[in-house]
Amino acid sequence: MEELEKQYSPEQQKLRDSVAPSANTVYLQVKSEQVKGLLGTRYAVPAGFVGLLNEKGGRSRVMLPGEEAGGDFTIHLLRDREVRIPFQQVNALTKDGFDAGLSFELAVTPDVTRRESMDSLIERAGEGRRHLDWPLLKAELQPQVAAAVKQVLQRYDAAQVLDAARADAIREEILAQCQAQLESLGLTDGGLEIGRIFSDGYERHLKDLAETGQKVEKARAEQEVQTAMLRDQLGQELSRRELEEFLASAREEGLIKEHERKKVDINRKSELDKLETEYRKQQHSLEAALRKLVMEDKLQLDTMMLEKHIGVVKKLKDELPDHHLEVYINLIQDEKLKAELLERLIHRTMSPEQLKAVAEIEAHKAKQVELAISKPRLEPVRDTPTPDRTKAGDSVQMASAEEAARRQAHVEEDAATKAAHQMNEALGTSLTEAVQEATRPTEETQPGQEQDSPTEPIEVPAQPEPQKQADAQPEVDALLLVASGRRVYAIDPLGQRTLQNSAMELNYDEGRLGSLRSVRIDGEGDDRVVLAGARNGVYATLVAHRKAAREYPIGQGVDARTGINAAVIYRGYLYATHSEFGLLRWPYLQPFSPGVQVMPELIRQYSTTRSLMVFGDRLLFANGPTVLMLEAQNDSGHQLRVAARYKGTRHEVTALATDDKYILIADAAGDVYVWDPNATEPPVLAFYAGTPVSDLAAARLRDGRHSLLVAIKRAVLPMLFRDGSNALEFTSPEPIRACDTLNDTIVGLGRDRMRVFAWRANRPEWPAWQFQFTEPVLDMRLVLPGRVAGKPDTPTVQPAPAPRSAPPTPPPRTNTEIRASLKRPPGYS
Amino acid sequence: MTDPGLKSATDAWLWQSALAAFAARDWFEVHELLEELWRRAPEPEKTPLQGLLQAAVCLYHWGNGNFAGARILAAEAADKLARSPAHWRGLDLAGYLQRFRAAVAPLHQPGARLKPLRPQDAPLP
Repeated sequence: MEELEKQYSPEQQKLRDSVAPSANTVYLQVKSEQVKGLLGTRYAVPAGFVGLLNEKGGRSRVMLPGEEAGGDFTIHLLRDREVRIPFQQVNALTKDGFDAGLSFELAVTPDVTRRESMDSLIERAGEGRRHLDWPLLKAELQPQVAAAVKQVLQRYDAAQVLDAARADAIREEILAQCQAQLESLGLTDGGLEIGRIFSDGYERHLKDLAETGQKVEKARAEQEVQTAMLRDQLGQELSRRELEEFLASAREEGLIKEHERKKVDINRKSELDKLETEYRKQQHSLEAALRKLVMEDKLQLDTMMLEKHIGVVKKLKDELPDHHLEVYINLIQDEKLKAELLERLIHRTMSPEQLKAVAEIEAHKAKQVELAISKPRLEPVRDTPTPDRTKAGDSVQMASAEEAARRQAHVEEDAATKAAHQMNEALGTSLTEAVQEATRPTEETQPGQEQDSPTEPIEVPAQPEPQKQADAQPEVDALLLVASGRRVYAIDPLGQRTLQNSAMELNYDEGRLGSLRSVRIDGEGDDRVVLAGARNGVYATLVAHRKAAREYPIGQGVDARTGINAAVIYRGYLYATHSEFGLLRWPYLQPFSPGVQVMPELIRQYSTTRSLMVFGDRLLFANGPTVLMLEAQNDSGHQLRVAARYKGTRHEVTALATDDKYILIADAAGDVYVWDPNATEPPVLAFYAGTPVSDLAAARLRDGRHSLLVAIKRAVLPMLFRDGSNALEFTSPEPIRACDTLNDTIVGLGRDRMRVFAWRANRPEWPAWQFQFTEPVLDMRLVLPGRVAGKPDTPTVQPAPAPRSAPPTPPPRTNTEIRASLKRPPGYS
Repeated sequence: MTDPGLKSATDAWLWQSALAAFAARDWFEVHELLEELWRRAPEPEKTPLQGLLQAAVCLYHWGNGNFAGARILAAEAADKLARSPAHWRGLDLAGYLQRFRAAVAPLHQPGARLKPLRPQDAPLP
C-alpha cells in the first residue's frame, strides 16, 4: 500500500476528509466549494492520482499529480497505481466432487490512459458516490470473481487443484474469466497472486487413504509376522520330519544289519542241516548194508531149504506118474498155486499146434476185452428170448428184467469166451479134449475158409478215394445238419468239399443267445423251422426264409454254462431240454420272452436233462437215470401229465433213440435197453458195450432192417440189427462220440468234435468221406434233403429212393469177412 | 395271428415274430423284423409297417436316453400312423396312434426333464 505524502492531524483530517484521499481510496470526487479558502478555491491533484477536471462551461481535462485547479470546478481523482484486493473463496467444488477453497489477491489499476475507461469507472464504480475505496470495489467485483473461481476449479480434480504446478494455469484462467468484468469497470488487471489452494474433503480423503494404507500395511506386517511364525513352525516340522527320516533310515540300517545277521544264521543252519543230512544218509547206508547182510544170510538159509525141498519133490516125481502128479497138485491148499501148476501141467502135454491155438484164443479174448463189444442181436421186446433161437456166434440175448440186473453173466458169450469156460471146466477132467474143442471155432474164422457163406467177397479198393466216389454220385440221399460255433450248416455228408456251397447256412453271429449246442428241424411244409439250441435259449429259423430268427431266451440275464441240448415243437409250444434248467417251454407264437420250467419239482431231482424228442405224440426225454414221457392233457397242450416213466438203474441215461415201436435207452454203464412204453413188461437189456454209450441212432436200412448205431467213443462204431443179423462195425480213424444214420448213410463225430466221418451202410470198413471243421461240432443230425430245401417232405424211410451207389447194395457181411477184405488206406493203419 | 393279407409263410412268420417282439418290448427285434417285412411289402402296406417300425425305433432310442432321436422318430411314426388305415391286420392303429401320441408327449415339451423310458411304460399296438 502506497504511503501518502502528507499526514494530517485528526482535526485537520476531519477538515480535509472530504477532499483528501486515503490509502484505501480508489476514486474521490472533489468540488470547488469543498476547498474554498482565503486565497480562493484552489486544489492540487495529490500524488498517486490522476484528476479529471470538469470546469463550468463543460470543459474537462486530465490533470496530473501536482497540478492545481482553481475557480469553480469539480475534479475526479482516480488512483493511478495498483490496488490489491484480497479474496478467499471456500465454496467451490472440484471436478471429482471434493470441496475446494482458494485465497488470493487480485491486483487492479484504474485505467487512466484512456478517457473512456476513466468515464466508465466514474459512472459505474462511483454510481453517484463521492468516494470509492477497495472494500467497496471488492464488493462490486465479488460475484463475478467468485463465479470465475468456481468455474475454473470445477474443471480440475482435487488432486490437480492442489498440485502446485497447476497454480499458474489456474491463475491465468481465473484472470481470463474476470477480464471482461474488469474492463467494464475501467480497470486493468495487475495480476493475481494465489495465496493458498485447499480442499478439506480431499485432504480428509487422502488422510483416510493414508490411514487405510497404514492399516493394510499393518495387517500385512502382522501377516508377515504370522507367516514368519508359521514358516518357523514348518521349519521345525521339517526338521522333525528330517529327524524321523533319519531315525527311520537308521532303523532300516539296523534292520539290514539284523537281516544280515539272520542271513548268516540261516546259512549256518543250512550248512548244519546239510551236515546232518549227510550224516543221516551215511547212517541209512550203513543200516541198509547191515540189512542186506542180514537178508543175504536169510536167503542163503532159504536157498538151502529150497534145494532140500526140490530134492524131495524130484524124488517124489521120479516115484509118481503124471496122473498122480495131477492128484498131488490137487492136494495143494493154495488155489492160485494149484491153478498155476495145473496150467503148466496142461501146457506140458500140449502139442505146438495146440499151443498156437491157445495163444490165438488169448489174443482174441484180449481184443474183446479191449473193445468190450460183443456182437448182440437186437430183437423186439415182446419176443421172449428162447435158448433155442440162440445161434452159434450170437453174442447176447434179450434179457428180462430179472436178467437185466445180472447182465454181466451173459455178455461175454462169443466163441472164445465159451471155449475158455469150457477149458476152465475141463481143467480137472479131459484137458486135451477141452482145448481141442476150444480151438475149433478159431479155425472156422480163418480168412477165406468160411465155406457156407452166402455172400460174395467184396472187393475193397486198394486206395479208397471217398471224394471221387462222391463226385461220381451226385444224388444226395441225406443232408447233414451241423451246429458248429454260431452257425448251422446243411452239407452233403458224402460229397461236401467246402462249406462255401453248403445246402444251407444259418448265421447266428448277431444273436443274443450265445454259441450253439444242438440243432433239429421241425414242422412240415412251409412251416419247417430249424431249432438251434444255444447256450442261453433257442433260435427258430424258418427254412423258407433263413433269416429273421426268433429268439426264445431262457430268461433275462441268464448266462448258462452248458446249453440247450435238444428242442422240439409240441402242441403249440416250443420245448427244450437244458442240463442246468431241466425242461423249458415257450408258447411258440411268443418268442423273445423268457421260458418257463416244466415240472421243475419232478425234473430237479436229477442233475441232467437231455435227448428231447416227440415219440407217438408224446414228449420223451431223459432225466438223470430215468426216462420220462409226457403227454398233453387236452388239445390246448397247456397242461402236461406223465404218461410213462422208465425208472432205470442207478446209472445216468446218456442217449435215447426211437424206432417205429421202441425206445432205446443207453446209460453210463454201457447198457442199452429196449423199452416198449405201451407194454407191461419192463425194459430189456439188448446190448452191453462195457463202456459208457455217448450216442444212439436208430433207423431203417433200405433192405428193411431196423438198425441201431451205438457210439462208445471207440474207433469202431457198431451197428446192431433187430432181426438178429450179425452186427456191423464201422471203422474210423479216431474214436466216435456221436452218430446218426439215415437212408443207408452213417455219420460219426470224431473225438475232438472237429471231424465228421461218413460211411455207406455197405462199406463199414472205412469212412467214405470225412470233413474237417474249423470250429467244434456240438451236434449233427441227418435229414432228408427235402427238409432243408423248399420241397415238400418225403417219407423218412420207405419207399427208398434210387440208391446213388452204382453197385447194388451187397448183402450184409460178417465182421470176419469184412476184416478179411479190409485194406486200409495209407496213413490210417 | 395269421392275416389273409400275408402272402407267404415267410410274411406270416415275420409278422407274428414282430408282434411277439412288440409284446416282449424287444424294440430292436421289432425293428429288424418289420424292416424285413417292409422290404417285401407292396406299397399300400408300407406306410403302416413303417409307422410301427419307426414307433419301435422311437421307443428304442427313448429307452436308451437318446431323446433327440426319439423325438424325431416319434414325429415321423405319428405321421405314418396317421396316414394308415384305422384298422389294419387286426390292429387298432387309430387307438394305438392316440396312445403313442400321449406317451411321447413329454418328448415335445420344451424344458421337460426327461428320463429313459421304462419298458412297462411303453404303449403297445
